[in-house]
Order: sequence, then C-alpha cells, then structure tokens
Amino acid sequence: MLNLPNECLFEILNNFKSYNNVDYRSLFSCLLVNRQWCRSAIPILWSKIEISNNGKLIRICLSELNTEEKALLIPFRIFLPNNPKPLFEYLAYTTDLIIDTTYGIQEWLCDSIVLDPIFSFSTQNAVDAVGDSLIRLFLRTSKKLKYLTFLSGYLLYNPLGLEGIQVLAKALDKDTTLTSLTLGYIPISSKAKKALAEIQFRDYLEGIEGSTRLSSITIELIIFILSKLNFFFVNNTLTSNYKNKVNCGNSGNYMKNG
Amino acid sequence: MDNGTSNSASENETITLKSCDGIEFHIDARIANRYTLLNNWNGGESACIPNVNGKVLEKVLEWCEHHINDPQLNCGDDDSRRRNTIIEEWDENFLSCDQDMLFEIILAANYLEIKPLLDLGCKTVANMMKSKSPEEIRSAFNIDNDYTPEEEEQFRKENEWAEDY
Repeated sequence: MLNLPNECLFEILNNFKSYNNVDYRSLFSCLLVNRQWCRSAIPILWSKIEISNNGKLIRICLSELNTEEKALLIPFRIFLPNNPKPLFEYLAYTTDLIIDTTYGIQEWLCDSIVLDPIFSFSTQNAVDAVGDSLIRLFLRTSKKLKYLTFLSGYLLYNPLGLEGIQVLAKALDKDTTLTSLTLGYIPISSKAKKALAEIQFRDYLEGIEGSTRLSSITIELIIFILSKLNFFFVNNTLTSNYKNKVNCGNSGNYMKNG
Repeated sequence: MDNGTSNSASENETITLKSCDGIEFHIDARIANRYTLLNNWNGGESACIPNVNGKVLEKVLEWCEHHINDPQLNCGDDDSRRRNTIIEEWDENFLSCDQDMLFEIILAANYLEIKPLLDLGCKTVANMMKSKSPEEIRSAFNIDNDYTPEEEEQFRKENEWAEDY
C-alpha cells in the first residue's frame, strides 16, 4: 500500500461514521492495523459513545476517574480495579455522548467484582453514584462535547439529583462547547419536584440563559417542571429565549399541561 | 476552492496541463475553473502539475470530464458529502482499477483538492475494509504491523467495547 498521509487515512476511516450511525466494529479492526491507523481511527471511534448496556465501555471510562470522582463511589464500597493508564485520552475526542444509566451500569456492577459482598447497599443508589461520577468525568474530560443526551435514570432516583443539576448548570456556562442538551424520559417524583422548585433550579435556568452558544435545547425535564409547577418567571425566560429552538421531542403532553 | 461562482470559461476554451513526467493534456478550461487543481494555472494557456504523473493525471482528468456538469456541492458541508453513500455505476467501474492506482488517485485528488473524487476514492477503500479483521486489512493492503505485542493487546483491551456493537 502506498504511504497515505494522515489526512487521507482519516478521510477513509471517516466513512465509517455517518450522521446517525457509527460502524464501531470496522473502526475497531482499523485501529488494530498499525500505529498510524490507530491514531486516525481512535478520534472517530470515540467521537460518539453511548453509556448504556456496554459493560466494557463503562469499565474503560471508569478507569479515567480522578480521586474526587472515585470518592463518590466510596460510600457504596465500589472499588475499581487498578487498570494501567489508558494509552490515549479517549474521552477528549467525544463530541456526542448518550447516557442511559438504567441499563448497563447495574449490569456492570453485578458482573464485576468491584462491590464488597458483605456490604449492604441500595443497588439503585450505587448505580446513581456511578452515573454521577461518570457525568462529572465527561464534563471534565470531554472538551469537545457538543451533544449531550440523558435518556433516563440519572435524575430519576438520584439522591444527588440537585447536585447533578448544578454540575449540569456548570457545564452550560458560557464557556461550554455544548450545542444540544437532551433530557428524555425522566419521570419526576414529588420529592424531586419540590427540590427542583428551590433556588438551585432558578440558578440552573439562569445558567442556560447566559449560555450564548447553545443553539438547540431539548429539555423535557424543564418543560415538565415548568408545566407542573407553574413556574412563570422562568417559563417566560425560557420562552423568550428558546421558543423557536426547543425541540419538544416526547414532551408535547407536558407542554399542553402548561 | 472555486465553487463555480465565477465560472467564466466557455465550452470551447482549452488549456494544456503538463504532468510531472512531462506528458501534456489538453482539457476543457471549465474543469480548470471548477477545481483548484489548477492552483498553478494563473489564467494562462498551460499549467504544470507537479507531484502527479501522466498515468494518474489522465485518470483524474477522465473523471473530471465525466462529471463536468455535476452540480457543485458546498465543500464545507462535510456531512452532506458523507451522507451520499451510494456510488454510481460509472464511478464504481472507474475505480475498479488496481489498488496502487486507486491510492494514487486518492493522493492526487487530495493534492489537487478535487473533493468529490477524494470522497469517492476514500469511500471505495472504506467499503473494501468493511467487516474485515485487522489481519485481513493488513493482508489486503499489504500493510506492516508496527505494534509491539503488548501495545496491540492494550489497545485491543481498551477498545474491545466496540466489538459489542
């Protein structure tokens, strides 16, 4: 084979990624061909990842946690194996991230030997703690993140829900690279509703308002809360700024309720 | 790249291109206007194309001539270029050449900034690699493996999640 420059090789491998699909298996094969192919394949392979029912992906992501993020797992006696430092900073290449904590993390927890078997814990709380640590990890390391989607789980039962919202708010500040945030399929408990009505939620919305780079926002959670809590102050703010940009997705019913 | 907004050449105008090995080609001047291949063409009647030999330039120009009336895509829109995943029959036949020529065409299209031909060549190569193992890809394209066994194993472990899709 002729020596192709990196830019040509990247163009070739980029064919394994289209706007709605990534051929992960082919990219995996390509990165194992040799070092040059690896350097071209990895940014494409890691550009779009989905944290759901893929225990191996969760494992490699968790190996990137820093001390602070690992500390979130200590109350649940989750001990991560000592993996060597990954050869690439893979998550730095991620631009499109989907997190669905309902599946996958629980499976990974049950399958791995990271849990102290004699410690009694709530599985859901442990799952949420792992989800929380992962979200913090991504917001810290994925410097090119553009599309962030939570399909379910994270804010569902999470005792750290409010803190999680604040973490998100931080990510939505004016320096964010995010252009799209989707929160989908998240039923809200009355406890969570009450909590979200607190001042932190207003801060969160102010954080969004101040973000000039967000070009489209799908925030089913917020629309749901606004409709249920009759939050006119923030509703007006949201409406005036994002009326034409909010993609209602499956939240149409929530909008009608409001 | 010229997007054709100032395509002033008429159908009858021709210019002469000279490959790096001195072979001359007389081509429709509209091709020169359409692609920046002719970086070096400053409006005169001839241009020299360094880095591309006559055999490859002939193939590239054959493609350009066939596609001279194609609508021009916005070259900045990578997504719209990639979404077009279907390769037309003529193009498929055109690139059914030996592997060295295929890669030479890709290199020339890259050098001459003929994006649609570059995309086509890259797509063709990608299709040849689809669903192949690393060993099969190395063998098909005669590529050396420069990994140490330890390195290869670690990359495999760190990315094996991709196999589960």
